[in-house]
Parts: sequence; C-alpha cells; structure tokens
Amino acid sequence: MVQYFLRRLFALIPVLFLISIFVFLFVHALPGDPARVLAGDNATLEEVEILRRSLNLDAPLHQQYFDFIGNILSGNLGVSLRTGEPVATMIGRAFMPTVWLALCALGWSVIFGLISGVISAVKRGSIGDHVGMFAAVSGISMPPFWLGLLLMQFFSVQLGWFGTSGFDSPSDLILPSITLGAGVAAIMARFTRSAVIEVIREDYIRTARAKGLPEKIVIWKHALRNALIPVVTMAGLQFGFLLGGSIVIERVFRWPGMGSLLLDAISFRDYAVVQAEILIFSLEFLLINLLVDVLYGLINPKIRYS
Amino acid sequence: MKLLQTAAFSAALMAGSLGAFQAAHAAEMSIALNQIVQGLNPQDSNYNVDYSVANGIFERLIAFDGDMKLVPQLATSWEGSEDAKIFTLKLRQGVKFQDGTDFNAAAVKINLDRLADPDLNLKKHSLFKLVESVETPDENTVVIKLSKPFGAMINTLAHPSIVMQSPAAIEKYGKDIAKHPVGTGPFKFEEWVPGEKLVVVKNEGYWDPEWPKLDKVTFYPVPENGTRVSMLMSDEVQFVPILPAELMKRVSESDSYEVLEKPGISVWVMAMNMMRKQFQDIRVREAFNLAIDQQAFAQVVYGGHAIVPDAPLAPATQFHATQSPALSTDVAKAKELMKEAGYENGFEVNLWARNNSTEVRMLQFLKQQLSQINVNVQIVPLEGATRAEKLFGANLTPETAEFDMTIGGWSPSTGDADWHLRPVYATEGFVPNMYNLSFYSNAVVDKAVQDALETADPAKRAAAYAIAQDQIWKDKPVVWLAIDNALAGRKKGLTGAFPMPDGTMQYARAAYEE
Repeated sequence: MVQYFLRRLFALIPVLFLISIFVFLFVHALPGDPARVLAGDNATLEEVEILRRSLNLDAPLHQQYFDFIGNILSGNLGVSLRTGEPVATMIGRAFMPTVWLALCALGWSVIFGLISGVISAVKRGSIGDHVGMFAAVSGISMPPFWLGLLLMQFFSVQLGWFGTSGFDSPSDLILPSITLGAGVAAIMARFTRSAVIEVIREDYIRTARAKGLPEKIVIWKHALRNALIPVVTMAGLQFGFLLGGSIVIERVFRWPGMGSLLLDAISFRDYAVVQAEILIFSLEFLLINLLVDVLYGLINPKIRYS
Repeated sequence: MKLLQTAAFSAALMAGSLGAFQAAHAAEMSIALNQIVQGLNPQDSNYNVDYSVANGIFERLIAFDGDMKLVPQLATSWEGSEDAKIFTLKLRQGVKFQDGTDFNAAAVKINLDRLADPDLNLKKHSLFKLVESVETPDENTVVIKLSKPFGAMINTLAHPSIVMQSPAAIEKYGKDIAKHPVGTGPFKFEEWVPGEKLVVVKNEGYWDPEWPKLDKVTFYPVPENGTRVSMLMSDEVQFVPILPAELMKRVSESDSYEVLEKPGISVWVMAMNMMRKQFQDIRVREAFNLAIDQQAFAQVVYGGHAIVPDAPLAPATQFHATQSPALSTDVAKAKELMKEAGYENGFEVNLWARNNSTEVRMLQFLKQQLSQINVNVQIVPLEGATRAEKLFGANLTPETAEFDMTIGGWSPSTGDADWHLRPVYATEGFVPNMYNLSFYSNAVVDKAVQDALETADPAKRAAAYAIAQDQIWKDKPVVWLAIDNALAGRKKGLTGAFPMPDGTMQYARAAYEE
C-alpha cells in the first residue's frame, strides 16, 4: 500500500513537467500583450516599449520558458509582472481562504446531497422525491452569481445578519459556501440517487432483506456503501474544482482567494501568476485523484492495490 | 413587569452600543473601489484607481478642483515664460512630509529630476521628457526649464501622477517606494493587503490644522458592481466612487444614501478609419454623423446620464470651444449624402469595441442606427487585452490596420486641450503611438496644436485650440457620441468625498456633518 502510494507520487513528476510546457505555451498563446495592458490604456507606444524591456518580455520564448522552469526547480514561482510581488507570497495569501471555502462548501453539500439522494432513491416516485429532484435541478441551473447576490441582498443588506463580503471572520464563510455548495449538493443528490437505485436492485440487497435485516441497515449500510464508489469519484472531482476557487463566487463575495487572483492575473496577462496558479491546480487534481483511489480501497475491501 | 424591565434594559443597552458605534463610526470612512490597487507610486502608474488612493496620501504642486479648474496645492503661485520654456513656482511654506522631512525646493527638485530621468523607467516619464533642468534659486522657489516650448506644462504638473514624495523615503525604500508611500497629504499610509484592503490614517502633522477630519479611511477593491452597491446599502462602505448607471436607482431610492453626478471629461467617439476609401469622402463621414441620434445614444447606453458633445473637447476641459452647427440627426439628409457619394446601397464595415456590457450596448445601438442608411455593420466585441494588442500592437501601420471603425473614449488626464487634441486628432497621434484611431491627418490641426504649445499665454493657446477644434468639427473624422457623467454613491451626511470628472476621486477633505 505504502509502496503503491510512493510509486504513484513519483509518477506525478513527468506529468507535472509536461503540464508545465502546456501551461507555458497556453498562457503565451493567449492573444493580448502584457506590456500593453500593464502600461494602461492612455500609454504611448514608447511607454509600452520601456515596460516590455524592463519586464524582460522581449526575450525569446524558449529563454522565457527556461527562466520559468529554472525558477520552479529552485523552488521559486517568480514575481508578478504587475506588482513585482513574489508569486509565492500572493498564492500563499490566497490559498487558505479558498481551501476554507472549498471545505465548507463540500462539507455541507456532500452530507446534504447524500441524505437527500438516498431518501429520493428509497421513496422513488413520491412527492418528496419530485420536490428533492426539482430542487436539485434548480441548484444546478441557478447561476451562482445570481444566487450569491440574492443571498447577500436578503441576509446582509435587509436582515443585516452577515457582512456582505470579504473574509474577516468565520461567519463570512456562510453565504459564499452556501452559494458555492448549491450546485455541488445538487449534483451529489442526483448522483447518489441513481447509484442507490441501481444498487437496490442487486441480489445482495434482496438477500439482506430476506434474512430479516431492518430496512435502515439495508439502505444505509449495505446499499449506500456499495453505491459510494461513483459518489466518491464525483466528490473528489468537485473538490478539485472547488479548490481552484470559483472565479464567479469569489468575485461576487470579494473573497481573497485563488479564483479572484486568477481572474485578475488573466485580465492583466500576468503570465507568472497564471502559470503558477494553473500548475498548482494541476498538482491538486493529481493529488486528489490519488486520494480518491486510496479511498476506494477503504470503501470496498475487494479493491486491492498492487 | 419583569419582561418590561428586561425589554427596557436591552433597549437601553442597544441604544448605548448604537451610540458608541456611531461615535466610532463618525471618524472613519470606508470606500469600495472598482479595481484592485496596483501600486502606491503614482509617478509609476497609469491607473486612476492608484491616483485615487494616492490623492489622500500625497499632494501635487498644483491640483484640480471638482470642476477641473487649477488650484494651488503645494505651490502657491506659478507663471510661465512667454516662450513656454521656463516655468517658475512658489512653494507653500511650513510643510513637512509624513516622515518629518522638510518639504522645500530641494525636495521638489529630487522628485522632478526623477520623473525626467529616462533610466528610471517611471511610467509617467513621458510627461517630463522635455524637462532640461530644475533649478532652486531659494528654499521656496522652483524653476523648471524645458528643452522645447510646452505651453501645457502647468496642467501637466497638475496631472494626478505628479505627486511629491519624501526624499528620505525615496532614499530609504528605492524601488520599493510603491509599497511605502510617504507624502505630505492629510492621511498617511498604514497597511496594504494587495487585492484585499488598504488603510490610511490621520496625519497629525498635516500643514492645514483644519484637516483631516477623519481618523481612518479603508479602501476595498470590489470589481463586482452589485457587491459595491450592497456594501454601501449595508453601511459597510460609505462611498462608492464609481457607480454604474444601471444600479443607480437602488441607491437613489433609499433614504440614507445619495447619488452624486458630475459631467465627465471623457468623450466617446466612433472613429472612422480614413485609410478606407469610403471614409475619405467627407459626405460619408457627415452622413454617419447625421444618421446617429446622440440623444437616444445617451438614453440607451447611459440611461440618460450623459451629455451630447458640442465640440471635440468636453466642456470641462481647458480651452473647450463650443462649435456650431451642433450635432443633429437627419436620416433623410444622411441618405441623400450617401447617394451623392455613390453609396445609395450602403456598404459593409466592421466596428470594434471592448466586450464589456456598456460597449456592447453601444455596438448594438450603432449597428441599428447605421442600418437606416443601408450600412451593414459587423460588430466585433473584443476582450480588453486582445483589443489592446490589435489596436496598439507595435507593428501596426495605417495600411495594415484591420478595423474600419472603432469605439474609443478619451479622457485628458491633464484637463488640458493638448492632451486630448494631440493624441486623438494630430498626425503624431496615429495608433499605435497614441490614440488617433481614424488616421486623421490635417495640416491646419497639426499646426494649431503645435502653435498652442509654443506659448504659455492662455489667450494665445485658446485661439490656437479654437482653430484646431473648428477644423476637426468640420472634418468629422469621428462620430461624436457622448460625454458620460461620473456617478458615485455616498452616505448622506458625508461631505468632501466625491468623484472627479477625470475618473479619479477625492477624499482628503471628507467629513461627517455634525
């Protein structure tokens, strides 16, 4: 098991290397010239050229890539083209707010999604099922910025229960994590429902019922556990996305996280920040995939690693 | 009875805490900015948001009042020589920087010399390229000598980027000065968490003992328009300097908040690329101007919060000269002109703009209007950085430019005619150099713009700019569209915090009414 884990970890290195090339090329292939954007709209051509030289953007592309990868190998993510601040500092500041938000959103949405999914599956065709699934479809379809602004208008402006935005105290997590988790909860509910419906038809469920186990144990222990594999996969994927920071929600709630940072960096063509963020997102996804694989074994002892 | 007592007690408690809250509140103000702050060295920035924050920390030699008229700040008087090459300023006495350094002629010289030094790569060096020397005959006098006449020098000194920084701080922080601003303003820098918030506090040693009235001002960058308004409505911020017209009603309908509206100096135009055969014909350019209804444009795009231009310059820009005839709409006459020019059946053109919601509305409106004279407009909304590269890419030439028409807004941040007419209408302003998006080139305009720079005499400058504006108005290289108003939201009872016509804002003299 440990050996398997380590082997998988080492296999990440060439993958990350390939990703670094793709990220670099992708970022530089974006139309738009960072020197032009950073100089501002009213800048003269002369000002733009001075800036280009001072940012080393006139160096050949391969040279810029070697600088980038050389920096990373020496543990340095470079400096922001826009502010000159080290990228590592900027990401260090933005990382934890996004992690907190992702954990809170994932936490409530997985619990809520699982419970309502199972209930829907068991009471299939009932009014509760229809209402639940209607809510789920609404949750998936509701544009998050709209939901966010509605919650803000009601709970912050009219009732005054929470601050509208920003991250100054733990209670500031509530509205954005509800907004961010709504879509995930809906996806989890629908996924759980169909997985449980499938499992309920299996022979071992009939056997469990036949040997007289209480229905609660049949559903929550035998059925749900077997239905969990696709659900965990989905939760892992969603967590990966959440950790990337939701650009829209972070912007609406003025959340000082990775999504806001990425949006700003892209609109200013701040290459160093965009590259570093995408590399980190890729690394997060790879690690989460690995974690999900390990979880499979815990959920279903039939799965063995070699 | 017990219940009543409890109720009275908690009411008293609430009233008490409310009172305490208001007292604490009265001396503080929070502001929601529409962009993140880039840096706190205005001399090295091109961004209005940076200038806005700097307006409380730093001061300039000469500044603008709320209507873009020049007012003394760190200089008490100034004059230019007849040939516009020597400018003499008298400085305010008894001023100290926030770190205790004296403000005097030597400090001004250090700042201006830095701006004039090409090796420092400061972004606003371009404004000071002509400075040959800065002399300090005595403690309180500064003489700026230029290599070439430049009649717009006084307004250039009033540009929001030309602030006075403490020489000691420049020495101490070097390139890091953008993170450690030290000026003479009423507020001194306290804390900056990039992308999150910025705090300034009262400068106890400010030279004007009347000010500042506030102890602390906090800035939050809030790019999302709806969130800025929500923050205002829940009293988390008391001032929103940039308020989009579509959200204005939410603020104006409330009892505790008000909308401030002020004519801007940004003139929006649709530039016609005069390298194209069709647009070389004045009849076509005139027809385009006649086909577009500017009143309707102001309604559709700005909900009525804009005025129709009456000259190439905005009324608040120095040396603006009202032109006649005024812009008018006459589709029948436009069709006739198109017919005369041989385009009765119109033609196809593309029209470029940014992809934000305001400019997309402009695109749709203009497409509809021009279809009345059979012109088929292909609208091209572009993402900001992409647009910048395509319009201002270094290897763009008039012959290879891909655009037929472009929407552009220009705001002369010196408040002077020169920095509007030269970049937008003079031959030297052709994109990518500056902002002449029409490739409009006229010898009369070029000469008048140059003549106006050869003298510091306002009357002579005004005469030259009148000639230039008259010629441009006749030639119609653009369709003039609108001058949009600066809109802001503010808590009632707050004074001294307001938007400026140039897109920046002021908060140095902010106070709550007693």
